[in-house]
Amino acid sequence: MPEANKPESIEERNLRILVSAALTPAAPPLPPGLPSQLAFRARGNTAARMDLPLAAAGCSALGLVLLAVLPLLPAGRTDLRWWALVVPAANLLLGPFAAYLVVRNRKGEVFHAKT
Amino acid sequence: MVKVLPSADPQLIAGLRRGDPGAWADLCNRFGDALYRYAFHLTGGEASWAEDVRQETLLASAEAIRSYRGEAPLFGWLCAIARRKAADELRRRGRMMEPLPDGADASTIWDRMEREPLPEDRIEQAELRAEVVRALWNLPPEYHRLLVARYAEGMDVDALARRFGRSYKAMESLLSRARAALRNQLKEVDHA
Repeated sequence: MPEANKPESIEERNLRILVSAALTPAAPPLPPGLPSQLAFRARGNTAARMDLPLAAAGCSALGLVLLAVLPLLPAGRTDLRWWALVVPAANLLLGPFAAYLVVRNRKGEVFHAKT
Repeated sequence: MVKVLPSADPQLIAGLRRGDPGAWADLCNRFGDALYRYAFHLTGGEASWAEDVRQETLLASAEAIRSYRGEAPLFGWLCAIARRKAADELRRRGRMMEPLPDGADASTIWDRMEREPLPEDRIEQAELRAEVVRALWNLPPEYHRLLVARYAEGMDVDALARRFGRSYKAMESLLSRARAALRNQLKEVDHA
């Protein structure tokens, strides 16, 4: 029997209705800059994962070096001893603040992508 | 049983993980519309909310792409994120995700698809429509194109055979495999 004359099967009828329903409604376009923002985010995540441990390791190494040279400093140079403690401490404090700024900046970019 | 292949290729996933803008543009082109439709049905037809869910899903996917292991189809993974985003918003609004009709799970409903007409009220059910979107875009692209041409555009097997460059018999067989693949996808309800 030619296909045109065959009665529509139940499954065919269900599929016709469901597939048509799945294709509606038409989607509005995505913001043009969104793919680049997504790529930036994906890269940023990779970089952040690499950068944060490196930064933490760098801070610790710098702190250890400075602490190691502390006894070698001339006894009268209390200013140098002071700096040798302050620099690693400042690094450790500034690290999280910088991370916060990066996250806030990325959220701002996302907002722009949406609007 | 037909085994449905994941619809995402390893090159695309590698590009997404590297943060390649071309790969992300490809993802948006391939799944942007479908993700909106999935979100649209999931949110009960609220267009602006659906757009928000789509965008939040894509942004979250960029954050989480390194944890995607490629075991599930990429679109299914995106749908799982979209469901969580929509559910979060529903909780904020003090509402629950729309339950499946009569407490039946979706796979039971799809089991009956070959035997009885799906009642209109069930087809109108947002949750089920969303599942059809997920299932349709989880299929290999050839199956997807074929089912859309057949059931949404209403092409007969002759016309499909001409469009896809196959014989009538080969097209009938391909169509049958595509239907089976869709049924399997529909039964794999993903409420992650």
